[in-house]
Parts: sequence; structure tokens; C-alpha cells
Amino acid sequence: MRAAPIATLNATAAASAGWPEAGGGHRFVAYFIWLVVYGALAGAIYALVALTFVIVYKASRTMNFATGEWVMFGALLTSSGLHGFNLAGAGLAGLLGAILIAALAMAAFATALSRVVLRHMTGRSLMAMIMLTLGLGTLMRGFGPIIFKGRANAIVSPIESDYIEILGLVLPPERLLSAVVATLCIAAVGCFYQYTRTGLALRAIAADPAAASGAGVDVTGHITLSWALAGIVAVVAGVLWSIVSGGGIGTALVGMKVFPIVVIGGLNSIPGCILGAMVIGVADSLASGYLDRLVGSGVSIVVSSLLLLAALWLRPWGLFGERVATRV
Amino acid sequence: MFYRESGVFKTSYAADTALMPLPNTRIGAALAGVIFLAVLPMVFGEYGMSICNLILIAIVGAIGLNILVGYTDQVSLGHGAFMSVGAYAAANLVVRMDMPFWVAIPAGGVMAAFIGTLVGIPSLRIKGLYLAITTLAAQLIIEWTINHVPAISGGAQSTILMPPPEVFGVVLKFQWQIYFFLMVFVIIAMVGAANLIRSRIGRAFIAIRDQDIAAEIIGINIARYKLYAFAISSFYAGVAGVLYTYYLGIANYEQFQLTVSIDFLAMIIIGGLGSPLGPVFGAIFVTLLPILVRRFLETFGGYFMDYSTLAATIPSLRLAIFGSLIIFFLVVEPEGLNRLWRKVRNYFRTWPFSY
Repeated sequence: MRAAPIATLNATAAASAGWPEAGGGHRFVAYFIWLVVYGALAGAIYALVALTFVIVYKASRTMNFATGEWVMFGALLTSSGLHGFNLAGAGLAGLLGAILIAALAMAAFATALSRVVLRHMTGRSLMAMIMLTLGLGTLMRGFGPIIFKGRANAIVSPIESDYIEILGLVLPPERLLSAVVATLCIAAVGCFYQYTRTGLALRAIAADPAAASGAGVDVTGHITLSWALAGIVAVVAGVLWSIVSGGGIGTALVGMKVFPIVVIGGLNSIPGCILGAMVIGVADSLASGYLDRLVGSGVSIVVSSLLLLAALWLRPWGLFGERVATRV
Repeated sequence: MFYRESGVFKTSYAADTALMPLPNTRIGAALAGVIFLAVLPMVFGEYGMSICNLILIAIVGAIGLNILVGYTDQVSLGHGAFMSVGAYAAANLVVRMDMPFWVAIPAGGVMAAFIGTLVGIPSLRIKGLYLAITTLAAQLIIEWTINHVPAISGGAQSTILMPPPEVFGVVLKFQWQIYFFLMVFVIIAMVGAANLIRSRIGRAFIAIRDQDIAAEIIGINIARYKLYAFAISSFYAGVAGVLYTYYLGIANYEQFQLTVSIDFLAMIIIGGLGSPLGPVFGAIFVTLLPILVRRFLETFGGYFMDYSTLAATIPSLRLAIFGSLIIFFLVVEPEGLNRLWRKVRNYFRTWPFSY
């Protein structure tokens, strides 16, 4: 089943961290807390993945159904840079160099896409835009193995350390590190939106493209810019995801997590996507920790789908999303 | 003998909404009938017929999705799941209760229509993007449920062996027999869809697509007709799922995953949304594409790379070409193959007096 790698992630992590099956008494509580913490750490990376989606949606009201593939390309570009330019031996500096190369490549790809393809799609129907990103995802999934054939796709954590114990919880260091980096990265993007002139322009476009255009904002240019920004964020998300769960083509599966997250949080809200990612990360972790052995593997995808449906039913515009009133 | 139009001289509504208003269409349909019912089965062997059968099954599914997406403008990413519902419903009926095909096929369709209507309920409240996400969630939930409930999936590997259909005492074993069997359903599906669209229900669908608020104001019960669209579309999907199960000889959830839903969307977009022949062109194109890519690479690919890399590259290259073509059609020819066909047809419609 397609969703299996993500779903089994927490279970395998649990096994490798040496946690036994859920027992009774205080071990039960400890297991629960451990699952929640693990889920929250995964949620931080999910939030970064969802951020690539939200950036594009904010700017152009385009839903990127190829988010998973973007993250996959980011990861694969970094790993081939790492191994292709022999940066793997250079530790943290090497990894940062590879990320920089990958980010430039991804931004270039995003700009080209925006200029060559998306330019023709302004004012087209919703169906056409959905299909375009689905086609883009298919294309990237097809070209990925061809372009990156024969390259090692592992990215190892630059920090080598044993398991870290915090308040009795045993946590692998690369997960903690990834969560911290993801949080910093989200904060950086948030500050970029909040405090820079370009960020202001992007927020203006998100609020009302026509008015922004009237006030002198180059709307097309900023949409291209936000695609490039999404590409860069996708590189970071891909690297973090590869570090915690192994890289490769399977990274694209993380894209399936995006939809519950953004629907719960609100499609155009950065705080919403953090909160949604936490909810989904914890729910996933709890589902695979408790339900997998009862009803079979991969139940976390069902749980997050059900959460998505519940969110749509109760609050279709999301927790932090803007409620759009339609004038009849 | 060749009839040329010089104007519109219709005097009745019946003539105006006729299924085949022009004699040319009738000639064309008759010609297509001869080609598809007599020439093709004589020319192709067992392998050729099996490809034709795949196309026929895809046509049934694509026509169904076109009713929902092309005519009613409700996005669905769950078409593959609806097919699997029909497939497993029919497989269980056939294997456990020994039902004949003429019970199993409609039953699979009805079951899919039931599930499809349930999935369609959110469409009453939400539109567009959100509906796409809802149907995506439905696809994932249905996939998982079928795979993990042994009562539906028949236990190990989620696979049910399906005996071949038996028509008037003849067990259909050869591809050409299955071809004629499928052809009956394709013709019913095409004529059914064409008649549906020119009926009251079809006009309501188109009104909802073009402007849902205006449609409501002129008295169309939007909720009811949206659910009709979901029910009819998933009925088609269910029937296509059952036919595919008969064709493969097994019901297996892996044949109905999200990629299948995307394939069907690609078919109707490449073929042309909201056109009667669009799904047919799209189904032919999308089904043939991977086969042609494989055939081409197996023939010529040996000059570029060695055979082990070739075998590994073909599936990826198929995806890459498929994705590129979807994007190409969306950008360059948004109305799809059907528009190319219309251009050709209109040229010959007035030929040689096309001033």
C-alpha cells in the first residue's frame, strides 16, 4: 500500500528506540507521552512541508497537489549534491553547501515553471489548476528516478550523538535537531512575511491581488517569487525528512499529509499550518502506536483523513483561515 | 448522397435535440460500428484485442467521470475507489453466491453509486478545492477499508479470483469474446450518457456547472442534482470496476489506487471536458500511451542504453511523458482532443464549399 512507509515510521522508530509494547500502569502513561512527543517532533517537519503548500496558495490561490514531489526533489537534489560533489565527508558545512546548491536549483526550477507554464494558466478553471499540479507531480515522480539514477540518496544527520534523555523520555538526536531546524525555518519565513517589504507585498497579494496590483505590486513577479520560496522551503523539508526517515523516491508520500494539515489549519494561514501539523503529527503517532496492532498497518492515513473530513464539516475555512464570504 | 447543410431548418424540439442531427453523423456512426464490430476483431490477435478491451473498460469509466466533472463541474479524485467498490461488490456476489454477470454488473454499479452518493454529500456544502480534498480523503479511506476488512477483500493479498462471465452457456475465455461482451456495455454507456445529457437531468447538470446560483433561482434543486451526478458517475465507475475485474480474472485493490483516479481525470481532460466523444478519445489516448512508450523503447531503446537500465527506466519514463502531456494539453489545447476532432469535422462538414 502506498501509504505504508509513513505509517510505519513511528512504529519502527519505537522499536529502534527500544520501547516495548504498551504495558499497564505508569508504563502506559509513559508510552502515551512518548507517542505524543514523537508525534509533535514529526509534526514540526510536517509543518514545514505544509508551509511549501501554504506559500503558494497564499500568493496565487493555487493548490499544489505536487507538494510531496517538490519535497522529494528537494531531498534528491541535496543528496545528489552531497554525494556528487563529494561534500558528504565535510560534515555540517558540506550538508549546508549541498542544501544551498539544491535550493538554488529548486528556485530556478520553480521560476522556470512559473514563467513557462503557469503564466499561461492565469484565469483558468480550478479543475485545470488541480490537474496541472497533479500532472506536475506525475512528471516529477517520473523524471526523479531517471535524473537521480544511481545516486545515493541517504542524508545522514550532521550531529552524531547517542540517544538523548529528557525528563525520562529517550529521544533520537536527529529528530530533535530536525524539529528545531524546522521550527527555525518556519519562524524565518514568518518573519520574512511579517517584517520585510517583499513579505508585505506577498501579504497584500494574498489579501486582494487586484488591489495589490493597483497599489503598484508586481503580482506576477511576486507569484514567481513565492513559487521559488516554496521550492527552497521544500528543499529544507526534504532534507529533514530524509534525515529522520531515510530519503529516496518514497519521500513524495509525505505530500499526502499536507491536505489534512492545511484544511485543519486554514489554507492560507502560516500559524494554522503549524497547529494543523501538530494535530496531524500527534494523531498519526497515536494512531500507529495504538491502532495499528488492532486493525492493521497504515491506519494513520485513515485517521488523518477522518480528521480532515471532521474539520471540513465543522469549520471548512480552518482554524486560522480567512472566512471568505461569497457575494451572491 | 453526400448531404451539405445550408442552414438550420428544424421545426420541432424533437428534431433539435435529436441524438444524431446530421446524416453525416449517422453515416459516421455506422462506419464506426462496422470498424469496431467487424474489422478490428478480424485484424487483431489475442494481444491486440486485450488492449482494445482495456480501452473499452476505460471508456466506460471515463464517460462516468465526465458526467460528474465535465457536465456538473464537481471535482472528484475518488473515481478509482468507486471502481474498487463495484469490483469487490461484484466479486463477492459472484464468488460467494454464484451470481451470473447480469446480476453482478448492475449490483456492483449500484453499490458504487451508493458509496459515491455518500461521498458526494459534502458537495452540498463545499465546492471546488475543498471538494477535491474530500474526495481524495474518501479515496484513501475506501482503499484502506477494502484492504483491511477481510469480509470485503477475501483475506490474504486482498484478492478475489473472479470466474469468467458465462453468456448463454458460453464461458468467455478468449479476448475477442470478452471484446464483444464489453462492447455491449460501452454502447449502453455511450448512448445512455448522450441521452442523459439531453434530458431534463442533463440540462440541470449543465445549468449547475455554468452558474449554480442562477440554476437554483430557475428552480433546479441543486442538492438533489449534485447527488444524482455523483450517483450516476459512480454507477459508471462501479460498472467499469466490475468489467475490469472480469477482464483481469481477479479483484485486487492495487488496480484502483489514487493513480487510477488521476489517470481517469487525465483522460477526460486530454479528451476534452464536457464533450460526448472526449472521454472516448481520452481513454484511447491514455490507455495506448504507456503501451506505445514501452513498445517504442523496447524497439529503439537498445541503441541508447543497455537492457537492464531500459527495463528500469520504462515505468518512470511512462510517468514522465504522461505528466508532460497532461501539462502540454492544459496549456496548449485546453479543450482537448475533442476540439481537434471538431475542427476536422467542421472542415469536412461544409467541404468543398467552405466560404
